[in-house]
Amino acid sequence: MRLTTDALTKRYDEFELSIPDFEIEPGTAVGLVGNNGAGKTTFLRLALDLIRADDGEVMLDGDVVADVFDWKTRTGSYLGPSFLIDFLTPDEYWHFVWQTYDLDEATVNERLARFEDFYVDEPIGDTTKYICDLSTGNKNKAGLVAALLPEPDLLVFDEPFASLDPRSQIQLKEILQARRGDATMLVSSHDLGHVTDVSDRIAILEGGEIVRDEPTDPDTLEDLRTYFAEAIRPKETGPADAEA
Amino acid sequence: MRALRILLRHRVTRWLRDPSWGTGTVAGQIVLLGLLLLLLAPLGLGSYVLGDVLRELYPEADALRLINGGMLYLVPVFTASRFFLQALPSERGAAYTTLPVSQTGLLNGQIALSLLSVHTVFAVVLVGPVWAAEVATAWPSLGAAAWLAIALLATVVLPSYGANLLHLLLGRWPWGFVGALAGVALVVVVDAMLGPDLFRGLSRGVFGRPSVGVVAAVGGVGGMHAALLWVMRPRLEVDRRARQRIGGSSRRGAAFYRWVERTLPMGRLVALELRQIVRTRRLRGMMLYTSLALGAIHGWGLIIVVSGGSIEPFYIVLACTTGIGGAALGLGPVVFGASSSYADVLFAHPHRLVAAVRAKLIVLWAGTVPGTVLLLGVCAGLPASRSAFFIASVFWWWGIVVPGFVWMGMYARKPVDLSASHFSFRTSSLHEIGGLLLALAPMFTFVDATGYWWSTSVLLGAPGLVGLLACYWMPQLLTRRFRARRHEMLAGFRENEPI
Repeated sequence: MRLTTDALTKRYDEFELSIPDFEIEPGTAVGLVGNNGAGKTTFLRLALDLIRADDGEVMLDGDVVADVFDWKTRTGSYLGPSFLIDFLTPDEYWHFVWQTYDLDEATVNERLARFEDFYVDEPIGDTTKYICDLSTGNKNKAGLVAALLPEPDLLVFDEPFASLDPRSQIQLKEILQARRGDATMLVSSHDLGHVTDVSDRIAILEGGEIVRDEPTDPDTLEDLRTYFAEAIRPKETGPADAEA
Repeated sequence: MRALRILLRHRVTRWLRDPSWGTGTVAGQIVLLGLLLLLLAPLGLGSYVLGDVLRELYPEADALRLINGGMLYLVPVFTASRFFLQALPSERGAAYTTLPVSQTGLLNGQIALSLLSVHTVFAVVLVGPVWAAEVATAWPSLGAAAWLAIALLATVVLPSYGANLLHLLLGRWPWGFVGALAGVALVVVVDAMLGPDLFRGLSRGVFGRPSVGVVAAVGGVGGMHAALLWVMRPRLEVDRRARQRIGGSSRRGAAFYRWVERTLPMGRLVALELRQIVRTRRLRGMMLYTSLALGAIHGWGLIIVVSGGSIEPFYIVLACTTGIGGAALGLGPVVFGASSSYADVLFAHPHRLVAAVRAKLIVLWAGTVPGTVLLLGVCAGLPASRSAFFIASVFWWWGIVVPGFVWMGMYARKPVDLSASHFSFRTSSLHEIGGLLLALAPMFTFVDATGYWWSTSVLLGAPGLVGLLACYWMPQLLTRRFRARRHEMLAGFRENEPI
């Protein structure tokens, strides 16, 4: 699924998100990084039509997301606890999600079995706790499993690695790496290492604008660390600068 | 005092920043003020002339003695009104527990702030004028001041404490709550059996002898305050969770939900709504009290039918509102706000908006079924004109009120806190008030109905029938509005504090 923006703008009181012409080719994984308040979550919500844009639009395979419904059947997303139904158990929640995507039970059971090592709080198929009583990490796992279950063409995640234990972070990274090429992915994360590992491209969002957008390579992680470190450390001046 | 100052400052800040009442704080507050004046003015006036009225009705009795004999009855009345219409003190205390703020101070502050409410205004407007007209003019200033203090403690502080305690008992010790109600019922029964003078005599003793009354009032308030502190303290323990697990009977519930999913239209979403009603405190409490109300109202109706008695106006009011509405009356004003915690799920996943709208309609219509069936059973024993009015009210509910709740609910911008008190029936937006006015329409039309049962039945029943006949197109119409409102609703759920 191809994601494109066309003069996309969203304004808040003293902030404006402006992404005039951003494109994610089908099967490409893009990591979205930036400081707090840069507009990452806003952009993801615009992509999922959870926020109304002030100008412009987001399109999936040429269809404006605000005008068309069908893209939802091919999209899986998890942006945080608001994507959970906390009075359900994880099994009931996944059951609800699979019905929404018109999956049959046999397919779902087969796919859920692949997450048995990932969601380990209770055996899948035998969960008894309500989602509201799970730890933050297990809540996130329940939401991630629900997003991955339909094996959608587009995956949108906001801070998927947050609150996961180290083993689960590695497992999630492997799951996402396995999906590269098959699904278009848009992953926002503050974990520079993980997001670099799962992405074909990294886009840096700053002050509501994409200031850098480049393919990942072995030096990308170091580049990102240097980029963000410069914001808190003054640049070192050479002798020529000092004399001037 | 420091904790109270902090809580008060934060409460004022929250109020100032609250985009409530649909069109903005100023407009909403003006409407609220208007409604209050409409209700408070006659209340205050009536209170001021109460003594004169009593002297007209009972020329041989001492008006002040009669007033004193009735004052204590205001305690249960105001307690009940606060219980049903006022939220518990803020449950956001957890945010302060890690700060250098005394826990006891925090709790005292929350208890004190619960006195800041419209109920307090009502009590003052009721008590003040009668004090000014009857007590201040008849007694020395010290005695009059003591009477006023007792009256305010009895009508403001005791009911507030009592309502909060009942809410907390219901949440922590349901059987304690039942025991408290049973105790109250026992007092009422004993009072009735021993003659009407027991409670009245107590009231005369408290208000007729201020020195005794002050001690009794202060003692009562002090005792309730201590009990309230004791019950509220565990709420600050943020680690304390009621771990909900399903198993056993809840697994049998799974079969029912599967049946709903497979059988009913929009079954998946309807089953989700039903699970939410059963598993969340607020909605479960709403079901409980509407069920109790249905039983009481229609039990009364059956007694009327069996005994051949006449239909009292009060019964008609109850039968045509709560008696039909039932759970729909409780759920209707929050029909979309109750889904706020998972609204993103509904919109990000491939749920057709029309399916969501249909599910809301189905759940609300289902909420009216028990009341409708019971009312129609009562109607079978009534004269045709009365039955026609009730049936017309049913059509009104089905064809106008239920779709009206769904329409008005689309303007909801406040999430509903479903972990809040079991019993709380509050409105915080013009649209909720609009929905409730629709539900109360039979009551308003009844004002003109006496002697005009058939014409009033047509007035109510015709639009209701049209609405019912249009139910095939109604979801599409509502969905168009839903589609247009979805972003505002989502933004409101994210930005506003839960009610």
